[in-house]
Amino acid sequence: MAKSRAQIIDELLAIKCQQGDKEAFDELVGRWQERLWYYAFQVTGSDAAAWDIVQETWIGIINGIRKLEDVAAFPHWSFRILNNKCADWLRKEQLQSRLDNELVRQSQNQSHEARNVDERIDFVRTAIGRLAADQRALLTLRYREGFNTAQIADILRIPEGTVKSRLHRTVGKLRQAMGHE
Amino acid sequence: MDELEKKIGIALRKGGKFDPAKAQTLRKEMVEMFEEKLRIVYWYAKLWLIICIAICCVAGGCFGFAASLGIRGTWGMIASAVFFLLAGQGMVTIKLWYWIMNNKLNVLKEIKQLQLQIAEMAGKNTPSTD
Repeated sequence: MAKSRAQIIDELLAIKCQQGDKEAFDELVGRWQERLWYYAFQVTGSDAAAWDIVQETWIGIINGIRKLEDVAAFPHWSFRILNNKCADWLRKEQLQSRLDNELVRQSQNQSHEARNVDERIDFVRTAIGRLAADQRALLTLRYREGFNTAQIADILRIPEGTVKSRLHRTVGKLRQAMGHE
Repeated sequence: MDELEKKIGIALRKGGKFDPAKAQTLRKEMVEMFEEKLRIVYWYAKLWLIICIAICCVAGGCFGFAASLGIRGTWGMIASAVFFLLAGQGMVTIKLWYWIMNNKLNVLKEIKQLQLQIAEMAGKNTPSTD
């Protein structure tokens, strides 16, 4: 599969970082910071927590980038570190999963009211916000970051089959909540 | 991707306020941390070299000036020779390791730059859809 220009630039920057190039690291941080932050925000639901997690993630990246064998794996390697930090944060905060029934029950009462596109998007966003953290993480990795199921399996350290079934289940739940067939 | 999946993608791009000022501050901190890490790595490498050179000098001196230093035993001379060789080997190994790693990274860098040029040329050659 042909790589995009952005992917090649990321790989080149990762190699330069391994050689100790400070400017390359600065550019890499600039390119990836927002993406990492949004994932952390989606999982934790908190701006402040997301910043702390991103900071810890970058520290993990600084400590481990020299040991990264394949620079093409930098995207999902960095997201793996990020995901681990998010999991640590969630464990510390002892957040409970949302009740699935509550999501469906509340959402079905509202779905017929969301008419225009913006309202529907906001409704989807609200519905996503009510999902469990691991479900939000899955959706973010798939639909925002564009990782395939193999990469998501590598990031979350679960089998690929589990990723597919969880994705299918989560999207099915949202579809049910939206009142779609 | 069906319509719901597209909406999920759009919805996930909304929400949350990414603060550019905070991002800039964090970016500076991380670059400083990266520099600090590099300094520590170079410091350890220099320390290793200094230790190896010191052992080489001491062991070499013991071996070369055994008579003047009063070292008579064969085992003493063998030990100093072994330490001299080990320390010398240590210096060579670290330099060789650094040279191999740097070469590998330079080759990879050239390959990536070539791939980038090809990607840019391919982008230029693609007819505009405007």
